[in-house]
Amino acid sequence: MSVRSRLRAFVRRIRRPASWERELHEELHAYLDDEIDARIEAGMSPAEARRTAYRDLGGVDQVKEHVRSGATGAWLDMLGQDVRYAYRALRHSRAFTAWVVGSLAIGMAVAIAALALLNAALFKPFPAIGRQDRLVKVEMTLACGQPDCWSRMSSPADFAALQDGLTALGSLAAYTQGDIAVALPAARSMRSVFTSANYFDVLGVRPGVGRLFTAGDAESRSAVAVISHGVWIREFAADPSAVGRSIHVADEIVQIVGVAPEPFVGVDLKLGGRGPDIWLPMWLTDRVLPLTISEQRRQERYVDFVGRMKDRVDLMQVQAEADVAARQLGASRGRGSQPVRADVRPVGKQDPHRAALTVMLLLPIPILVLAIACVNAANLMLARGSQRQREIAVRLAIGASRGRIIRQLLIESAVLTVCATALALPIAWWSLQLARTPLVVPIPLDATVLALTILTAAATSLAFGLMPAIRATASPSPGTLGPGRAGGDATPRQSRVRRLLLVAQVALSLALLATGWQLVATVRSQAGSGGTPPDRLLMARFDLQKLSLGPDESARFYQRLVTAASRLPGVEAAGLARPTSVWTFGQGKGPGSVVVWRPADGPADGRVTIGGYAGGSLFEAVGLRAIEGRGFLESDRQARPQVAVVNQTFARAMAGPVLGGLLRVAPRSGDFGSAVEVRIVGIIESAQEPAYTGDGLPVAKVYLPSPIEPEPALALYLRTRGAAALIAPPVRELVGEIAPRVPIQEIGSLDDFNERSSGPQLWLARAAAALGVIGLLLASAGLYGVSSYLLSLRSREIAIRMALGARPSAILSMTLGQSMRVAAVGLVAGGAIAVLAGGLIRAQFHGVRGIDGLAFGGAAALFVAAMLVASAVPAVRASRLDPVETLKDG
Amino acid sequence: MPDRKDVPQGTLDLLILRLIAREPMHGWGIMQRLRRLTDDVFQVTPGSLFPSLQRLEENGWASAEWGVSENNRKAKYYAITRAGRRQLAAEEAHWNAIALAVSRVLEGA
Repeated sequence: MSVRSRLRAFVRRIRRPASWERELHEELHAYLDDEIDARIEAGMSPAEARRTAYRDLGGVDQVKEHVRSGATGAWLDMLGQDVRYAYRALRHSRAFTAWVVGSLAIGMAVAIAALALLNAALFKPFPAIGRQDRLVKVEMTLACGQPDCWSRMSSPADFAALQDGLTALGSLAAYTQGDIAVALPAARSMRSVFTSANYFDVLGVRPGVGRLFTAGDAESRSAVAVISHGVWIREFAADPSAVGRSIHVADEIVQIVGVAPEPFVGVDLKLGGRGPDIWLPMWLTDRVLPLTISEQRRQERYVDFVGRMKDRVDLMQVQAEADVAARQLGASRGRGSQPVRADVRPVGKQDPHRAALTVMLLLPIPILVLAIACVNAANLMLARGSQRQREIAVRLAIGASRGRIIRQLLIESAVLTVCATALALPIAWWSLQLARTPLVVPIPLDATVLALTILTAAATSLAFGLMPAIRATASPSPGTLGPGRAGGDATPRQSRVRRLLLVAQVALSLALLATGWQLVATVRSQAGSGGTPPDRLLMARFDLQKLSLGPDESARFYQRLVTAASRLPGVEAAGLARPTSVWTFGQGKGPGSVVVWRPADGPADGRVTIGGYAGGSLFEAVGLRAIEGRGFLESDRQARPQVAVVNQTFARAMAGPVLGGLLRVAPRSGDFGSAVEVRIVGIIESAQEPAYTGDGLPVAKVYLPSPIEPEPALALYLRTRGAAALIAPPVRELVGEIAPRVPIQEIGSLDDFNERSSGPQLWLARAAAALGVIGLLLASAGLYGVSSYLLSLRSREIAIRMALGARPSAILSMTLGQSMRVAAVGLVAGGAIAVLAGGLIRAQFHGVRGIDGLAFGGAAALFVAAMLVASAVPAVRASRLDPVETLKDG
Repeated sequence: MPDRKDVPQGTLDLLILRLIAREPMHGWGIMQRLRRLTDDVFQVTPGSLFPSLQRLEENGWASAEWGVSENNRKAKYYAITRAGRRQLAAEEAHWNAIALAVSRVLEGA
């Protein structure tokens, strides 16, 4: 009953607030009239009765306020009132509102984008997959003999055994990955996944177009393929008749039976580049996908297993069964001496521990930007609060409680935050579209992100609103209500707080900028040679092994290619070498190396050294000059090389004379029978390695004039006259003419290769730098906003100073000096933070250099310039004040 | 003039209910009656009277209607409802129990 009548009262209040107010008004006045009558009857004069009655009532408005605040739904009323009031107040000061909303929107956008990115990278299930929580990955590893050393051993042979052994799984699928050569008929290098027939069923994927693999495909050994949505769009222009077409995969003819759903990328998160292009049946692997070097050594292919748990089965049960299976597999396959271990873990992008670490590492930067924006807003709110002292004092005097006014001011900040968030969401969305993140999965602004956004917004609005609100309502000084212009004469304490906030802001953004600069500078100082600028060096990578061309055929192809390419217009020099023999692009010594030893030592002392075959005019093409001796001559190109060229780094490490010294060189595979003895005829410059891949120091290298083993995978290095990108199309054409079936695995300038190889790191470095610049802009905007606001409030004071004889230059130096003092203190504090942050980043990102003087000096100089402009503009304006006009207005 | 005391929290509602249980009354009337009955001991101000009336009405214990007062003025009259009577009975019992308990302790001490 009571609830219902309360509800009725509530509804009545919402629906007819006007009549309710009127009735209250009438009731109170009826009361007052009665009271006055009673007092007159008791002998007072009418005037006296009236005065005392009103006095004893304690103020009509106060009583009304008591009734209002006691009424049901009062909070709603007051909220509406406050929001309306806030809206009016903010509309009244448009510049202030635009300034705060703009700066908060940028900060919020950065935070939202970061949240969305982390959400997509770490927490969202893989797209287009059914019930990811029931999926597990099973990984078998073999002890390699040393403590804590386990190497993966899962191979296709284990598949059947695991399928039988893991009864807790409803189904288990196997897959393996690699790049293959495809002719559509256009030759393409594609990222492929070879899967067991049940792969898509296990993952719960539905086809985008056509069908996916079926058990029938495996039984009939049908050569079928499913292509990715991206390939379907790119290569077939989304033509539905692509399904049913036949394509060449290496030497096999394969029929496309379907297109995978658009966002599907499997259950492995690879950063950078793109997701898989094509899915093929597992049994095709041995025909089209060569083993990798480490697979060759183990003589078995690595395979991943993914399974779906039966209902009411948990991870522990699967793990227990996998342990048994692992023991059996170890025994049955003659690995008895070395223990085999099985690891079952849920399918997910990251394990929770690493995910938390990543979040902790990456989130502070965007939060810092948001913090800068908050400081901006808080500072303006403070400035505005002191301007509004009069208004606040009046409200306090007519009976509003301090809490009520604080709430009012907080609602103003909430309104500002809501506006900023509404602006920030589309900005965040757009920047994520434009930023080309290194994630292959989509980055949606989903419910999780929105919830986090609302939380962030609430925290933001408190962060910048609470302190100014409390300060603004703190004990008004006696003069506040007096005549004269509003506010502006902040108490020393208030301006101290304001200055402190400014210093914090300057410090934070400088730290951000210096850190971002440091990261970018590190990544920028990448692969570069003495001669060829990175944007004028075109590289094209090939792998003929995927086409099962013979060694002679391969050699002929490369010879024709390098000869024809060197004659292309716009090409200055053309060379051949393995893709990682000049720069390793972070791939280590693996693929592009030979084994080198001195004749005095045995092959056992041989050292794995980057280098090997250097065909064409490689050194000219990449711009490595000969320091001593000579490069290769045509006469050096014999079947068994007689000479070698080493780089400076190698030469420095050698004892005794280098030129004329003898070396023995064997293939990396350890085939010492094909070792050759060569004489060093030249020393060339060392190419600089990308700094982010290690210490950034040049690596020792040894080059030979002709191959000592079959070289199916080489890269063409072209030094171009203009931009390398312009030469890429003619090179494609050229390859099409020489060998239509050969795909170019990768083509681009050295810059492009650097970017691709450093992918996520470079992206992060750029993002940090971009955030640093945003932070700088925000801080400058803040300094500008606050100083011009404060100066506008101080115009009276300045006018008086000028009227008393202060020259404009004195005013200028006074106001400018105040701003610059703030900037200077911020600069010092920011430097300290930057050094600390630099150390932290160095510990986390391998190869990042410490903060260097140039980076920091550059950031500081940029900063001082921005600060000078930000404070000079309002200062100049202040010095041009017309004292007469200004004081007249007052 | 005797020392004025604040009305104990929540008691004002009970007192008003008791007053309007006899006949519908308007705000000023309730105020006068309260002063007279308590010999001005309780300091009831309009700032507490009107919110209390509002509360009673919202809880459904009193119903309000505009009428004409003895001074020929428009006035809002509050009358007790059936729910109000139940509430009054409960409150009275509660109050008596407490008063009894308190006085027992005081006398026994």
